Amino acid sequence: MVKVEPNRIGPFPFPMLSPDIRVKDFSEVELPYTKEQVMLEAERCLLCGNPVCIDACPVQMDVRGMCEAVVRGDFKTAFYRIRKTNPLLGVTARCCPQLVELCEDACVMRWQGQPVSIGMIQRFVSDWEKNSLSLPLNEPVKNTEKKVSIIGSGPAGIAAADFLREHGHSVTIYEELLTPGGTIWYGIPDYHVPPDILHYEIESIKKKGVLIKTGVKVGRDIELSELISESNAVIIATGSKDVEKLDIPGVNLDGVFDGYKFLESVYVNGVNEYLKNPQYNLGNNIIVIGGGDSALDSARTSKRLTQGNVTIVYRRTENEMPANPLMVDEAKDEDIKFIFLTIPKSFIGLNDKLNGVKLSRMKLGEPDESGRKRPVPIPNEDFIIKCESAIISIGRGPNSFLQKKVGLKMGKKNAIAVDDHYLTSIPGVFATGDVTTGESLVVKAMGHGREAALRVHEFLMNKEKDHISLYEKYYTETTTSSYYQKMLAGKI
Amino acid sequence: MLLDKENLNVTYILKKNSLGNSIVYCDNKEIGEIHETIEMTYVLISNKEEKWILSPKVHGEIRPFSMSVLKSDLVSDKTNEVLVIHSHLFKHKNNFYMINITPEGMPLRETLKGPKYICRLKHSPVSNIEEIDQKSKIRLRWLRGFPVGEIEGIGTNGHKIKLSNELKDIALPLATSCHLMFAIF
Repeated sequence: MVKVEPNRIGPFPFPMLSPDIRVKDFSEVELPYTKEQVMLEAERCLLCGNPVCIDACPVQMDVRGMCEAVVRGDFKTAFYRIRKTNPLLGVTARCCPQLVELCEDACVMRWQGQPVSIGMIQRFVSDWEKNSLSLPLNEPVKNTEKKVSIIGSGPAGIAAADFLREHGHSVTIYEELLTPGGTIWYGIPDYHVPPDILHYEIESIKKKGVLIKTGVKVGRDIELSELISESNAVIIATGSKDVEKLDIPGVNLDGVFDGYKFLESVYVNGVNEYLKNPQYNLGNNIIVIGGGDSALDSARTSKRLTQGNVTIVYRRTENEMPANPLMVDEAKDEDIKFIFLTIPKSFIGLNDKLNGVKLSRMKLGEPDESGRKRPVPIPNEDFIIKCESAIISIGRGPNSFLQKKVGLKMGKKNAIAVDDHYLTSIPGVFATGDVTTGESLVVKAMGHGREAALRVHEFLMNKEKDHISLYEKYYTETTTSSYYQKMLAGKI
Repeated sequence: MLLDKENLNVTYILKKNSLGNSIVYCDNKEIGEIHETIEMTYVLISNKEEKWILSPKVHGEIRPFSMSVLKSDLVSDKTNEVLVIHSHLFKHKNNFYMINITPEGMPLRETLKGPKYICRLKHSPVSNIEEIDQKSKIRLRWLRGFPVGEIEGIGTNGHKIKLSNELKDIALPLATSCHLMFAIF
């Protein structure tokens, strides 16, 4: 029998700031491991010959190599091993739902206990590098003289830029907002990812030679045609930003807000700036509508801003909620209330100001296309909840601004249509990330961005016939016994 | 628990041995052996002299959580594709199934530890397995289904796969694929 240490170091899933303290400000919820703890936790890794954790990572981050180095206290090697494919280590360590569908879900240790706390180890390594050394990153092997313009500095754009710069191309990112980072910057609250973590990682990418032009909206401040004429390739990575509307009476009342715009307003210039001049008068009784991660973040942000009574209304049961269950637990600990099997029927106002929501009770019917049971209204089971504000967070579609402006071929929900090579309907223009797939995880958008960047690289270097996917490259190179032995010997 | 355990009629235990091969047991009897060949493929040979060739190369490229299984005729050496798993998804007898999915009605929280499940889908996000792309892969996360299999245990200590009768035609290659995709180390 293989000796397995079943439980991870410290509490499961990770150490946290106590709820009564954390709701008072925007401090990070998750607490870090100490050096001793992280080395002990890394020792639980079995260093699999076929590391399933890497299979489950959309950017094939070298989790096994990281753990092998961390056990020896060699954080520098650990950093370089994981930085190779992941330019946003500190960000993804904090915002990936590792346990739900990524590396920790796949970790073989889960079969006999708790999976290795990969996110916490990654976080320690990235913080160690940031706080102690600020290690130089690899210089591009050679300059190819090829220019690539990337529209959007979110996770897909950043990952694509990092990959292309690594391969010697000259990269310029055009970002509409004044701060780069896309949804990581304006959509992920500070209590998940403190802003200095993102700033540091963006600066590292800039030091590598990637130019980021902020405050430039392509299609408004500069035309796509200009970028096409001055670049060898263009990548559109404008993310998902078109909010889904809730079409019920009273939706235009003062006090009914869009959740995504709310989060953007709070975080886009930093929370401290928002607090100096709050733009939302939320009151003390707040209803949040939706069951995803953004609904949770709208609720938890409202709680921190008001210390008021915050209630999430979701149309199915907790079992069907798409949000990360660990985040649901955190929200419950912060005294966020939940009302399940309920949908809003209308918003009720007095003098154009919201003062309540009429809700309908639901029951679960037959499964829908997703396999989840469909919510069905129960007749005559309406009720009213008094509230001063309601925040709607029911989903986002692809940011359709540019494709509509320039007439790019589109698919469902105005997503940019791309072929297997990530090419759009305009030659030399590629698209990647949420603008092509719809809303996904940060790390999935990054994986998508890297794959598109590979296609762009092959296009620029006339290597399209030699295409081999990044996963296949990883698999054939690093799951061999010779690679394994070299890694153990510290030669990789 | 929603899983009707009585309907899981076939149970395999797959265990890696000291030589790096894996032995397949059913009802405490050794019924087959898996070994790795060159070119990153695996061969499963049952004690009924049946042979399967398993490869993570699916629809032209090596993919995570994917497996192509060919049954090989030992006499003629001809092969016949019996199972294709692409990004956890496979089709059998006109039904779509997904490995590592949350059964309908089960809290997501309960799947963070312990067994993984194989479920039959009511609707598939694609009409053919070949059609799976980045867009459909993102939608796979939301799917729920009816549980028809349960997977647990570490490869070296015994990886246990229980399957319902509706998968009996592909039970051995499916169990082997799960072992190779999830539990071997």
